[in-house]
Amino acid sequence: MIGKAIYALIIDTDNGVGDTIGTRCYPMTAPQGAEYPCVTYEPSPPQPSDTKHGPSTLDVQPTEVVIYSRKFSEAEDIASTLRAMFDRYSGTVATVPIQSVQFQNQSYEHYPEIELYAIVQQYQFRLPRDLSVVITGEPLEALNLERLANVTINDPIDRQTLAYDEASGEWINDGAGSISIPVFNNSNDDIVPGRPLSAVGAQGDRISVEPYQTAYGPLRFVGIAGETIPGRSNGHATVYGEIRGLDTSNFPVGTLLYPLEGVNATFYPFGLFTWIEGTNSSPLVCAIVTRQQQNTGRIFVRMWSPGYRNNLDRLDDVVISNPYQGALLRYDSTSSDWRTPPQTSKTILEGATETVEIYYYSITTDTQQFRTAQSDTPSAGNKIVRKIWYSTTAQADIDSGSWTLLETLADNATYADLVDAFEDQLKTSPGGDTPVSIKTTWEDVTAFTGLLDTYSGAAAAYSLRLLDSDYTGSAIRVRRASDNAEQDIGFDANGDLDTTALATFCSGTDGFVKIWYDQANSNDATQTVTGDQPKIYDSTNGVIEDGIAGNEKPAIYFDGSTHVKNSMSLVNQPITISHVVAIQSYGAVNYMFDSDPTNTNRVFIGTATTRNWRFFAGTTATSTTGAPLSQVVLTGVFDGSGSELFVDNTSILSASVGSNGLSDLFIGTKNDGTLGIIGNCQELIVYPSNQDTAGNRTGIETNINDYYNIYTP
Amino acid sequence: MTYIIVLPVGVLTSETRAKQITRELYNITVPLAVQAEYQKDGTVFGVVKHPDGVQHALQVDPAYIIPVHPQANLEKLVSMFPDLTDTERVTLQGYIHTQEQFPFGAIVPSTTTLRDHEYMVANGWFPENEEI
Repeated sequence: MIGKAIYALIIDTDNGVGDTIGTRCYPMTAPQGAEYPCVTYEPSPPQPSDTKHGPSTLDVQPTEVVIYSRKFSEAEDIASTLRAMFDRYSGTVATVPIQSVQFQNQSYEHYPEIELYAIVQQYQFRLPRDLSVVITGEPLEALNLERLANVTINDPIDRQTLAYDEASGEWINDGAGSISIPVFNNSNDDIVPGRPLSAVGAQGDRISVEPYQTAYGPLRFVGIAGETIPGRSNGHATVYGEIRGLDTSNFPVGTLLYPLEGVNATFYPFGLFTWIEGTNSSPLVCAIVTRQQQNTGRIFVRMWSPGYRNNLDRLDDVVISNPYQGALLRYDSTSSDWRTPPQTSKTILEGATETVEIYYYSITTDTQQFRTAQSDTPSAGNKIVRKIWYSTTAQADIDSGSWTLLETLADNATYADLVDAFEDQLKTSPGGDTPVSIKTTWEDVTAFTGLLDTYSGAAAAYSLRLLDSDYTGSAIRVRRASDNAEQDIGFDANGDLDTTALATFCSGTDGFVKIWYDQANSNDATQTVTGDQPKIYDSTNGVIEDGIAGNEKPAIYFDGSTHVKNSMSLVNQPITISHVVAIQSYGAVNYMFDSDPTNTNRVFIGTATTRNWRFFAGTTATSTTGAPLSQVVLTGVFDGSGSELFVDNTSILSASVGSNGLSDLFIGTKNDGTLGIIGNCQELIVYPSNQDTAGNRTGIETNINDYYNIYTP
Repeated sequence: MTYIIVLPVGVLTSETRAKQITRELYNITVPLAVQAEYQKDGTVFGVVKHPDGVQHALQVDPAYIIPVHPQANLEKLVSMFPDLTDTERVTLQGYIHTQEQFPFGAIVPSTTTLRDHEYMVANGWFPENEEI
């Protein structure tokens, strides 16, 4: 066979000789009249060789190649090319595998009578033995797997695979492309072929199995018995591939099979399977019938089949009953499964005669499942806060979803109040968004206690913080400069001025206070003249604030002529007025507040030309202490000869200042709108009583200082 | 603090004229046609009444910024100043209509005198500050 390999190599034009030789390559001798140049080759018989461990699998076959040409140079060129091609060659040529070729020697011959030159080359070809003859004389071609000592194959079929059998120590055929796992029959009875198996433990390296029981759960289903497994003995479970010799007479080819539920102690022959379309609730499709026959029936096992023909409700953690159009699954943490809530709005479309273009609805439960009413009674010192939130996400995560506050009910609103408010909100779309999800929250939080809750009885109280937990009005009414539009600004959840709403309303323009609402009575301080309204928001710097760094609080800026005023009726002495102000620069004189333009019922506090504090209730009294250019708590007690002025809880002046009462309060200027404070004001409270002798003044000032952090107590 | 003493003109008393001027200044920002109910009485500057009961003055801030509404009608405002020439009226209206906003001081007629608080006190508009 080596000859056809040599011939193929020489005439191959890709190897550099074929172009010159053409097909003039001959075994043994060239035929009579052959043209030159040409080549002859003559293989010698193969020579077997031995190795230390026995006969080699390779034979050596010496071969002589002769190049003939009329020209010596041409013969040399061909000889050189042939040597380069053959020497150390390895590969398969013309179906002949060549392990290697070794060049041995070369000689020259000349035939002058016929003007012919010849170059003789000797090679050794090493060939696999199966292409030769084994030394025993028997052709290797006759060998096959089943002749090997540790291989046992019975009736192999197309695509047969071998599996190692631990018991016999042999390789055996194991079904058509099948995969089996070693198991141990944990029961005392035999397990017949075709029986589905459940894992119940382990026995050495084997899975302990028993006939499949639904009670074990689908995840313990490990395979199908492919052989009879005696009780308390080893065997195999097929997890993939064909099982033969079963009674499949009841099942046409193509029937999908899964374990029959309820098979427990009683053992069945094959017949454990039924139609997947039946009422069986087992989730495991495990095999398909490939031959319907009573004795030689076959099934193909495929343990982990795709979900073809399976349904969601066959999953263990899914419970679906009476599904309806658009139903959604929702996780139920109580039963730890996914289920569809009952439909409550199904009738919306029933009986409709119009063509429905858009159908949107939210599903609610009627089982109280998500309605867990909390207590309406707050803990001691606390209050109940109920809020309604919405999300534009369907079934938004109740804890971490993106929720927008829709409404905060009044403190201590009851559950019944909440339900009413909730249903009212369902009837309206909040803020132009679609409230796909709505939830309510309940909090039992520390109740807000304002200054007026502790020290009640004020005749008027103005502040940019909430002073009274019962007060439900706004803090201020703000006019924005760009279009003179107005809006009330209230308090946030902490009782602070709702600066977010203020910034939103005044964004990009200045904001001025038109009304400073009275949180104690109805003596609102107003300024309708826009040029005289004090400023609360700056178009560039935002909300005006005052206070030490880190504790800045919203403040109203008065420029010396801006002011607000009320029309409060006469309040007779004694009177206590606490005021939070911050003078930024001095005018000739500066009135912090004043009253009654008729000068009849007039009291005021201001700074004199000396910049010392001065207060008045018919008679002026001036302190020896200068008014600082900083935030202070200023308290004037007007009580005839017992009048006293305090700055930051320190008495700076005791004097008789007259007995005038107070009416028509001006905050920020003198009672003619002039000579006002140039600076900020944040709070002013009028008590129709002497809060100093009542023992409350320090408490009031401490309350103020706790919030504004003005002085060191 | 700055004041403009408003003189009576024709049938317009000092008080009427002062109140109409401050009202019309408000209307520049929010014309009557688009005013909300709470804006029906809006004014820009306060009116100060002399103790004699006759003279009235506007308490003005020349730096006060007046935004201009695109629909602002200035006819009534300029009519408050009959002593202006036609050219001055056209110039005033043209200036306002070309601004998005302007400081009040920019439209004060050259013939108008601004008074300070001391002047007003000295001329009996306000009592001396004997209290302070």
